[in-house]
Amino acid sequence: MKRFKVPVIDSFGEQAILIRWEVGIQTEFLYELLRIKAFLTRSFQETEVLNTYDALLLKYASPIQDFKEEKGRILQRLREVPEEPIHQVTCHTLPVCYHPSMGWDLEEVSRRKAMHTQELIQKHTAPLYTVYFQGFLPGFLYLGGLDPALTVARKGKPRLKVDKGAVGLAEHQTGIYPQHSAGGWQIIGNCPVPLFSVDQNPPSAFSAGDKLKFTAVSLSEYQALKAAVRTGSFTWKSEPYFI
Amino acid sequence: MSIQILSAGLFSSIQDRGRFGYARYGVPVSGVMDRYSTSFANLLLGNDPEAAVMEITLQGPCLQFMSETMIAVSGLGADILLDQKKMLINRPYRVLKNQKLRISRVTRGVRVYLAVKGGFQTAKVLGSRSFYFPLTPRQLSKKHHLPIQEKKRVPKVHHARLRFDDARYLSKQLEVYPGPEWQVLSTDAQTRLLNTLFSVAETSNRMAYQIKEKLPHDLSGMITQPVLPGTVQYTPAGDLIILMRDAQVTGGYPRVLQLTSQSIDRLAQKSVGEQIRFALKEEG
Repeated sequence: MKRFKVPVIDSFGEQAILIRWEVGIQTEFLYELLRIKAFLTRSFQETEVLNTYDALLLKYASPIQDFKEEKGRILQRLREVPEEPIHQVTCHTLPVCYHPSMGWDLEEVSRRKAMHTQELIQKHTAPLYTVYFQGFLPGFLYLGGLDPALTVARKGKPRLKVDKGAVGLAEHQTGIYPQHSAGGWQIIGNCPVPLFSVDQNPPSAFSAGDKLKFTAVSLSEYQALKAAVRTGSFTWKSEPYFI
Repeated sequence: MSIQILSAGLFSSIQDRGRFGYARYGVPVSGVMDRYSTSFANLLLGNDPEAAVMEITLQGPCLQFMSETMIAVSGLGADILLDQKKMLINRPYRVLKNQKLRISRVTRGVRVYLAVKGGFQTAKVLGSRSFYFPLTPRQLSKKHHLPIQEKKRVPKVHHARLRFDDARYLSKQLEVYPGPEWQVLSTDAQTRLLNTLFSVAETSNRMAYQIKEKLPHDLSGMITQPVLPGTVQYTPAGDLIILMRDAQVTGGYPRVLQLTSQSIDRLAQKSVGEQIRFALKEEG
């Protein structure tokens, strides 16, 4: 296994410790990070361990009394992380309707990219995306794997209201708005599947490291899916995926 | 056993210490903006310091008690009437069935906290009673029903000698730790951040306090990273954003400073236009 450098460990306020590897966005590193995260989660039971692209945040339930001592404990644990690479995650296939009534910016982005809308949809549904972490809004997935041909600047002026389920593009990212929100992403479609619900435990079915595919559905299929979601009779395709 | 809301005020919500364990789903911590005032109100009633309270912003609600209980309003200052009688802030009171409480306005600071004996018993969502939209309603309204604990006998008031420590709010100074990107700033930019007298902008709310003054800098952008309540973000345009309790869990702006927990409380009581200055606290 490739060895990554020793991380920088700093206190972050009175109740958190930040562990940084500073390697940027790399899928290979994500799975290394998640392996470390899983071990630290087991080792520090009262502590919430979060990951971003290349950092872990340990959030403590009460103020840390002695940071140096705690840092020593973390360094010790980091040396004990077992060599058990993550080899299985979940792959989710989410339906997206790219109809212009929902993909408000689809035509403009296609024009700007000098491609047919069908080509844009094809490029958006082709990749196997990786879920890095959740943030921004409850249930918002930070996804890696967007085709560089779809890189597009945010809207000059953010919209005051973007619909729940809106699928957007911004710079090198694509994402789904889990709720109504203000937002500056270029909207190309809508996903009828609710990403976050307080009535479910856990409230989101997605975990860091999971894989995700978009599949295009027609307007009538979208409406049927929406109706099925309302009656609770719809689940999307999710299957084991081996890394 | 409940409290009826006759009018909700400008922005009132139920808050406790917030949500722990859901940040991995992108859920903010939420919880009371000013922890000291909240703990004080709870202490006056002999409650758990983390019991759920009503956070009241600038203009308060009018409430009617459907059962006897004990209450306390804590903070820097507010006009409070129990029926037609003036009630003091930071003192416990016995309230009888059908009495009306009106907190017409916050006279000093921005927020006051209403505690009831045993704490508000509203429903927990993801382990907390704290309001955060859309997990819960955005704010209290007339239609909300506020359950409280049944108390057969309300004990005598006996905490009258506790003193609310006003002094902790008076200073312009916000104590800060270096943030994760502090070292990336040039020495010049660091000095300017610490030597400038800033003021609170109008757009400040439970999510973040914004600063009126812009201060250009030389930081480049970064990839999205974890942030916390109290994180001071520095945007490319030179704006400073101080994240508060409802802040999102990740952010893409350099995190130059981190407020101490006590400074978050202090800032939560600063009004629009009030001055603040950052004071660096070396590794604590």
